Amino acid sequence: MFLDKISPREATAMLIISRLMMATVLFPTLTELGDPQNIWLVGLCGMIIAVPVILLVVALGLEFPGQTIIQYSQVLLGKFFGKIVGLILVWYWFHIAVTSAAALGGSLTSAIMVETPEIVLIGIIAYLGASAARNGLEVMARVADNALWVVLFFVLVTIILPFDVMKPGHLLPVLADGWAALFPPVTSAVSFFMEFIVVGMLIPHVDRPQGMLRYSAYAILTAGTVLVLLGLAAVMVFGPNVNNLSMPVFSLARMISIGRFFERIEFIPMGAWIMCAGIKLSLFIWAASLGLTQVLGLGQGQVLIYPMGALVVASSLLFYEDFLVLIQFLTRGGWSVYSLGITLTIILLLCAAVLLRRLLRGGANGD
Amino acid sequence: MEPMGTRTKIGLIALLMVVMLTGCWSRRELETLDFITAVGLDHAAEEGKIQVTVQMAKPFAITGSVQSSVQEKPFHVMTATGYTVFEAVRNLNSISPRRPFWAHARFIVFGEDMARDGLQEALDFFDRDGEPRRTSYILMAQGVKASDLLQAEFSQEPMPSEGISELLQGTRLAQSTVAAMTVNEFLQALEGEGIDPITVRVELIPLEEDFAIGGDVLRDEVKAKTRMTGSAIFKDDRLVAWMNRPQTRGYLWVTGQVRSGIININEPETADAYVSLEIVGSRGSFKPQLTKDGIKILVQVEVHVNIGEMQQYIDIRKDPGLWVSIERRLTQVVKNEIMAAVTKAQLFGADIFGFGAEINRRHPKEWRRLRENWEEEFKRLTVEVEVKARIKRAGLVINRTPIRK
Repeated sequence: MFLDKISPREATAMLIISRLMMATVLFPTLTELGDPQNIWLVGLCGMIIAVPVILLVVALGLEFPGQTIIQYSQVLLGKFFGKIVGLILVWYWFHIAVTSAAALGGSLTSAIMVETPEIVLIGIIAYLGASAARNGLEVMARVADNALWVVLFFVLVTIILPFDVMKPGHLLPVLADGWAALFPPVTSAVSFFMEFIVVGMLIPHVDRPQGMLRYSAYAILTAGTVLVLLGLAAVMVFGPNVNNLSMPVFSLARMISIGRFFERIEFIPMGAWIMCAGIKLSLFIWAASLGLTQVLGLGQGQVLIYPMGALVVASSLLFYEDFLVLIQFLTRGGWSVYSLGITLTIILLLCAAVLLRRLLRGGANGD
Repeated sequence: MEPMGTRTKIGLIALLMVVMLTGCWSRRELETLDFITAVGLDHAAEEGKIQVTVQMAKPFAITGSVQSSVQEKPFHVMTATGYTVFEAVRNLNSISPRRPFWAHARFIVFGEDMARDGLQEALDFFDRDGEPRRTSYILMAQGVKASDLLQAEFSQEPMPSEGISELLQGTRLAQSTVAAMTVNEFLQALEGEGIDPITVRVELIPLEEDFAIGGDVLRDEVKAKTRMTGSAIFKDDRLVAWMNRPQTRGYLWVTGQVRSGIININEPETADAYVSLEIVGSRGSFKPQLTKDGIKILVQVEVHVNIGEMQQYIDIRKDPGLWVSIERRLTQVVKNEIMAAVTKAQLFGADIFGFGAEINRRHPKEWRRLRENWEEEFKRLTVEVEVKARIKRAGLVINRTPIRK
């Protein structure tokens, strides 16, 4: 089978953009927080915890060169359990795509295009994502590599330009309710980083797989830093009101007004939403389709991509009938438990299997 | 790599279309819109209803002919009522041929009656809806309905909303006698612990005996004007008191917002003559100190002034003691203004300075104990003021022209 080859940097770009997507749209970690001024601590903790976990996934991938996480889980856990783990991962990626599509559709319709049917917006973005995925990973990766700078620029503009309405005082007091209060939001921050388990699908396609150890850490640290800055900006601008907002980053851009001339630039975060969502959808639709082919032992993954995209669109309207269902799921701990439950169980299971195998083989060699 | 496929091209075109969808589905053509430049909210005559009054720009009158002596007013005022702000806003549609568009509203003015009863019911629309902005200012009309205030005009400025915005900037920069809050700041002060809102007061000055609000289309003469002085202070969302100009500046000293302004003091050597000092720079901050005798707030202000005017001759070169004396008098004025603001705020239990919020920032543990009963604690706390005043310059003359008798 012909394998698309991408560079570690391109893989990093895709991961960063995927992570920024949900935060620029809904920022669930921030709105979940009781004391918003602790957002930077939450962001830092989330980052620090996520790095070793994701490095484990990369290390697993390096253990089985040329194989995706779906393939080697069948080697490690046996055909039957391996396929079950594979199906769960496929579902998880599919669900991420669905949730992202719903978040984008819901936000665009609440923020700007109130009269536009959600299905049109979601449909177009999902079609774009799917068609990029259909053209292969190389195409997606290059788009992401180029889009990353634009997205980062948009996000930085949104962070910096409301400087005149920022009040640093809103960042105090730090940790008024102690560390325990940070536990739920930190799990939320980590749970979004767990989407990076998709790196298990990317590694066989990376031309220098060893580099992914370094680069996946870069991805987490870059995305994490941007999120911390975004959180700081939003808290300094909105103070205690920040966790009432549905779309903090969008509201942040609405506060930009320089000399009563440079204002009304909320298209900036919206541009970031659309680019991020397109790339995130393409990545996860690609991963879910390829994963499904590998679970089912089909030859060609490409065929499944468009149907998968169509399913994402339909499911995003079916799973999240209204915006509140989505917000509830993302900010009341549902998503954290779900995402962490799936990913941590699978990662630990696979690691345990690898260790066991090494132990057994080591024993055999010793004889 | 193969050249860009048809699918990719279609994809790119589709991406462009998403961006342009605003002009397609949720389309708003410029000539079908009516730009709201200012909003007023009052209790409606009918019990329990809210009256929303809007001032809208009339673009065709702004660009209209300049020759005619009687010009068409470039704005018009409309009003509608409803049980909620949003209902009233939609009711505007039944009297306006053009769709009201909210994104350019400069400020929201509340009538005194409504503000006294609380703004809770009126504010959510301006935060939740996608068109109004959190950067609009909140104004309080003293003694009149907001709907009347929106009809007042300025002879130099055809758009009253523009005029009021300029008044606001002007008084802030030249006098520092108004404290204005945007919707964003106001909502933060409402939700924030240990801080109450304060915002600017506007007054209506009728210029005719039988001042009445009519829907005049032509600009004949100005019937009423507005003036901006002092501020309105709130306890939670209810307006509880007005602060005059010195009191307001007292608040601005404490929070470090004084930009410029004039302070008059008595001349050192001569009775009943004044020296006007122009504030050219100031810094202000406060520190809460929790002692066993109670809460003490230490306010530190540094003020730099120029001598702006002297009514009687004194030779200020003669004796450096004169400068010191002027500085001492200035210090006293600043202290008086601050204490006037503190006394007023304590009288009504309205922590406009955010003393409580600052205690929360610096001493979160103690704040837990204090927050339950903050209103009482605030009324009891003592304020100590330290002022450092300096005369920096004296303008183009050192001594004024003496009059030889």
